[in-house]
Amino acid sequence: MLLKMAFRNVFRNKKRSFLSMLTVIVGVMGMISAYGLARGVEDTIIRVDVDTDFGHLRVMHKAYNKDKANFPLELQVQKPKQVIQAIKKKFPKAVAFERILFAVDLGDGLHSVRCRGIALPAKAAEKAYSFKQYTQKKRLLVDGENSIYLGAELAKLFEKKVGEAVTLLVRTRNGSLNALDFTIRDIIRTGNLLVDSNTLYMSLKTGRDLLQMPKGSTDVIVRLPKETQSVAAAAAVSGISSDNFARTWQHKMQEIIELQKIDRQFYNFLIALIMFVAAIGIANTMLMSGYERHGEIGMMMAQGMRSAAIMKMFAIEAFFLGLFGSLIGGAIGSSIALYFQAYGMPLPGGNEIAEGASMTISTTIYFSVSAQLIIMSFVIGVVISVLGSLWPAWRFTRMKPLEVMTGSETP
Amino acid sequence: MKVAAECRDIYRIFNPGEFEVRALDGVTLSLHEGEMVAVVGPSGSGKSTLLNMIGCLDTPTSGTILIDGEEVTGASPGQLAYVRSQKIGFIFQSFHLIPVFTAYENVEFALQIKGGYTPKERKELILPLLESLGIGQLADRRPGQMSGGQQQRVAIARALVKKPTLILADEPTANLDSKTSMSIIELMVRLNEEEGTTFVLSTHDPMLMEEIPRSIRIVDGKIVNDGTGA
Repeated sequence: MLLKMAFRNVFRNKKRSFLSMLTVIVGVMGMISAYGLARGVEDTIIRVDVDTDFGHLRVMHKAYNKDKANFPLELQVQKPKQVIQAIKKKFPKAVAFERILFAVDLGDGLHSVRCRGIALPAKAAEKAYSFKQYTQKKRLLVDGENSIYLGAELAKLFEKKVGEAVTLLVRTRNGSLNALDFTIRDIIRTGNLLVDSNTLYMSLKTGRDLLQMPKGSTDVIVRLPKETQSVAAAAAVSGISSDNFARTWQHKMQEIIELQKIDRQFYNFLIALIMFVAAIGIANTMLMSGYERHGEIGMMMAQGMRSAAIMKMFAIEAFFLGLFGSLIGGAIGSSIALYFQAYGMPLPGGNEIAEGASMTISTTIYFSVSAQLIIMSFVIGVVISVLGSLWPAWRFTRMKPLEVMTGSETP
Repeated sequence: MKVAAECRDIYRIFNPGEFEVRALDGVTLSLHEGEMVAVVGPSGSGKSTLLNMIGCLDTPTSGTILIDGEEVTGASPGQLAYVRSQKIGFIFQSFHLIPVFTAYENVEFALQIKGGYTPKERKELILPLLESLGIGQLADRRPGQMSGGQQQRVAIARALVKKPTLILADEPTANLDSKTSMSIIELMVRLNEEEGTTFVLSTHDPMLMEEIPRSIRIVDGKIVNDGTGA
């Protein structure tokens, strides 16, 4: 009967119940959205870089990173074939391929832009990166053909469409300049600003011809069946050459992961604050509600209802407030987070951020929502509500039935 | 006749010290099972305080109270709650029904607090009781859908259902019109005569005083008259 009474009491003063629930709604909604965004930022930045560029492991010359801004062709990964074999031996389902990174001036005869060129084996790259999902016409690169994938923002800058031509000017492995016209095989938009605004792709064979670099490559990219296998994969190639450096995606993303930890602390503080306000709101509601109903509560005590039952009655009522608040907040928060998980949230000013950043930035942030996050937020909403009711309930139980019944002492 | 409640030299002093108020000033009385007693007196004389003491809703400053032969002075709040749940029924001037419960549920709630009844047993006790009080057809109505007299009948049913040693009624007709008051008085007198229910009522109502065999008159916290008639 306590359950029945508490449930009905929630609807006794609908406006006040709703206002109390509102704090829980905002708290739970905020919790799901904020943590969904925080995880999403982390996941998006990592995913977009892993999926479109870095893979799970990158093996390169140990000195390459010091001079990476100049795309040094002479700093090559050592024994790349052995590296690939070692990976394949340990992880037969892994995709591993050589790549050449180079600096290229992209022009249309009037203007030119310095950007990043990547030459890579067409089929292996398609397997590793699934370019088809990012390209406009779903066309594969063709080995040896003078055609490129052009980043969407670059295509926009030069007002170029698929099938049109651009001129590429590169410094070859020997140091001479080489300029050639290339057809745009497809336009690529990945959400990775480094790719979309600053990168063009060509087949490895085409790249070797352009750069006059018949052998050797700047790095080996490895895509593993499971992302957690990256450390084992790095260990598998560590003994091949002391000049090589195998960098895992976790190592590269350490900076962003650390940043996210700070972000999460901020979110924790914010959510704790909101939930504290929610608890105060619930406590206030229960106090007001008890004060309004002092006659009937006093009567219950007069009939012999024990303190524990009074506490239980308040707690159940707050439980229902928390339950409804958390359900509504959870539904709204999950809907928002799931929408942005599916369609992404555009990152305004992403280009500017990307220019100053040392890591890959995405133009679209995808939220990351898990059932665990939703359930956790829901449970916290309910628990906070119940906790908020304990103090007013305790106040009433400390009073004599007569005091409660006559309202002779402010609870 | 067995003694249902006994007060021995009880004092209730509010604000002890310079501005103290002696609400009860050495009251001694015995209430027997099956009796119907009216506690009368002017406002502020100590009627309600006396009822609160007998009902274990308040504790005396000094003196001894026995309910059904057991001393309750000095008992813990939990023990007092138990005594109230088992041995005392209350009827209040403002009814104090739970507005979110139906008439049936309000009565059932008292049994639940008392404990020891199955839902079937509760039903078997409550429905005939509501019928006998003339509110059987109102079992599913909430207090807001009932008149004052009907609500007071539900409150009487709530007090009666647990078969207490005594029922304390604090100005039970104060909020009712004269016709309804009369019907409530007749109901309580009938219950006293037919069922042997012990009633202790505080009242100003002359109609009620006329119907009650024993009246205890209190003035300034002291019993000035204990006998038949007002």
